[in-house]
Amino acid sequence: MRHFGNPALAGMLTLALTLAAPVAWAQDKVTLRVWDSFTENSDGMDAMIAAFEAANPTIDVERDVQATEDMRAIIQTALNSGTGPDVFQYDTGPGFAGVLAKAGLIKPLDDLYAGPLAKVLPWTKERVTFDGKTYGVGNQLEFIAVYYNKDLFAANNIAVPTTYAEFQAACTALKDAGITPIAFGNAAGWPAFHVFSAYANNMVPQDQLMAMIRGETSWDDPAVTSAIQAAFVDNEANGCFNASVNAVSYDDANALFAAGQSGMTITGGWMINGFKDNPFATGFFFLPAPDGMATMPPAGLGGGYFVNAATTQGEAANTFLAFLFDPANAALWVEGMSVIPSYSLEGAGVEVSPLLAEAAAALSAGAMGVNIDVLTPEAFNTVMLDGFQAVLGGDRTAAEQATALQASVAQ
Amino acid sequence: MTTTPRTKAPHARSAGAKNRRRRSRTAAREMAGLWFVLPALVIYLMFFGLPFLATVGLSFTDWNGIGWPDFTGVANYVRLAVDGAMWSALTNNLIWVVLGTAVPVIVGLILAVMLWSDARGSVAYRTIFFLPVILSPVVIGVIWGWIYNPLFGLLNTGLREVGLGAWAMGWLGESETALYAVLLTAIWSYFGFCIVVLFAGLQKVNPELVEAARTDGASATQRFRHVIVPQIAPVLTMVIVYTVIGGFNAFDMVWVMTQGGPNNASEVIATYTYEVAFRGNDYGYGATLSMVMSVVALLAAWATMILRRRGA
Repeated sequence: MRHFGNPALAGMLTLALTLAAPVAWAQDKVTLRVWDSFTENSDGMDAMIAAFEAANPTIDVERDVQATEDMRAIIQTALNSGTGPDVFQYDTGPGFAGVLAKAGLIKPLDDLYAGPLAKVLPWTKERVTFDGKTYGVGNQLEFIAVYYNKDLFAANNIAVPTTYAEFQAACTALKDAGITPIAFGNAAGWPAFHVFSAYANNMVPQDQLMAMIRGETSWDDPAVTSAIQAAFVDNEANGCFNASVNAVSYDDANALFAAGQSGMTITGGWMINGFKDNPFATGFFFLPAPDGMATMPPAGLGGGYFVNAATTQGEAANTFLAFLFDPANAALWVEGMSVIPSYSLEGAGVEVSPLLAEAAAALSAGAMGVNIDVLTPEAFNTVMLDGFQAVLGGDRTAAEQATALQASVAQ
Repeated sequence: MTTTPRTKAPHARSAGAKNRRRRSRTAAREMAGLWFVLPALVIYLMFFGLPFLATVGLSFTDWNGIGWPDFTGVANYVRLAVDGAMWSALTNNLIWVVLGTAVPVIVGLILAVMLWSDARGSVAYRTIFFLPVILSPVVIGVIWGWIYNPLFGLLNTGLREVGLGAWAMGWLGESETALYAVLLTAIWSYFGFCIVVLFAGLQKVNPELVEAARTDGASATQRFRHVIVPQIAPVLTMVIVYTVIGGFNAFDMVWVMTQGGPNNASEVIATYTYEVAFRGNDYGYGATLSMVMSVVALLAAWATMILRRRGA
């Protein structure tokens, strides 16, 4: 019996097999749709995904970048309508991911924590656990701190404040020197969330604050009123902020600080990358608490990754998450995106700027408070946003704002 | 018993057949017209009719964007009545409509008449005035945001340069000025449209009538009011109506410049609806607010028709 005796026939069959091979390979390749909010360091995430695809040639990642606000506006509708992504980045609080979990729109990931996500820090796991199930992977360790211009502090003989009285004295000294003490731009409204978080964590006992966030105790409390008063009314009255804070954008306030025209600014760890090239020595300290209270710098997660409950690419999604949170890929987060991932960097062998190294060390030392707005629902945040603008504009008192916050919870 | 004639005269049969053929041709033409309209009608129903009906339905629910909506009757409409933020936004809309219509139309009309009166460089001026109209509202909002910026803005810098530093302020951040600062930007971006449309309308004004009025001793104001304006009344009406409806739909400029802030001072119905529905995930109440916008727009359209009739 002759098999493939005809060379022409053999050649045709070989050609056919050669052509068919990529088709079969292409059919095995799956597409994973991913949405994230890395608008500012998008190139870094592109590099992350390129590395993932190189390591997993059968998975093709189709990435869409949505600004945080847009993500909040569309994700529920997208998941509900079946047009949502397989994996997406979203806020981790009970008012955000917690709502999706309750509605059954995201998938529990408990099994992954027993395997590839075992090294994820336990406290970050708690922030994405709702009703006993863990629904996502927290990411982007963040904190709220006071960045300061070391050169201006030195030139005006100001030491890094260790008490709240020293912090107030630093404001006065800078103001007397003709320098804007704190650059603050609240045109968008949300920057006030961070300032409020810094003050509230220091002035409201932590247990009480957490009970307020859970809706168990009232926000209409003298300690909350004092925090609002100190953060917005007193600082404004004492000339600690630049003029017209409600008309200055967040970016302009950062630019004011980066240009050396203000001594300090209160913002998050995500600005480390933006301030690392300042034309002056830049440092940060945590806002000191008033006497008798513990300094509790707000810390939290900038976001987290979640898997669509209706995804048909569950295995690829798991592989993607395992890659993102593999300490072997820490450099892609830290060096490529200036993001501190949710696992220990010890022994990860990454090279970071001094400011980022200081931040990473700070996050693993001492007790940390919470970043309030990522844990509270949108309706509460709206009252914070409008109300703090009103307080800064002199249209509402601190006590009235505390009452309004509680009213929104009751509603 | 009467009998109906079963036959007709030959000429009657011929006329009947002609009528039938004519009716058949007319019906065929009508059917053809219907087929031509059908695609547009389907698209209209799909993207306007059905969503509109769905919005009406949602306005009677508490849908939060997840799951199945619960019917809540008229609860959202009751809430509407006591929602201070909604009334504040509606008031801002009315201010926007009144000032945002009166100023560009009046300024546009005056400038159009000046350009029509054989002003030198008429084409150049019309081009310059029209330029803002072709810019994206987002671009305009960003640029005017820089102008108003309290740190480096042109406006405050200029005020300080001429010794009026006390007037410098955060124009978009003060509750007393935010709405008007945004409105001024909107007027600037729009008045060129009024000029060009009214200028086109002025081309139909009979110059002999104007000349005759001048010969009869009519002053410039009298000629403008009693001779020119009546002749461009239909165009003027169209511009006013278009501007009024646009005023009720104001969103982009406000969103780019202030997002309705500070503390809702520049909030208009469209931005408030967006915030309630898409930020607060309160789609049921957001749909109710949309109904307010629809009713207001319908009233504006009705007022338009009345104005048109009077202007015609």
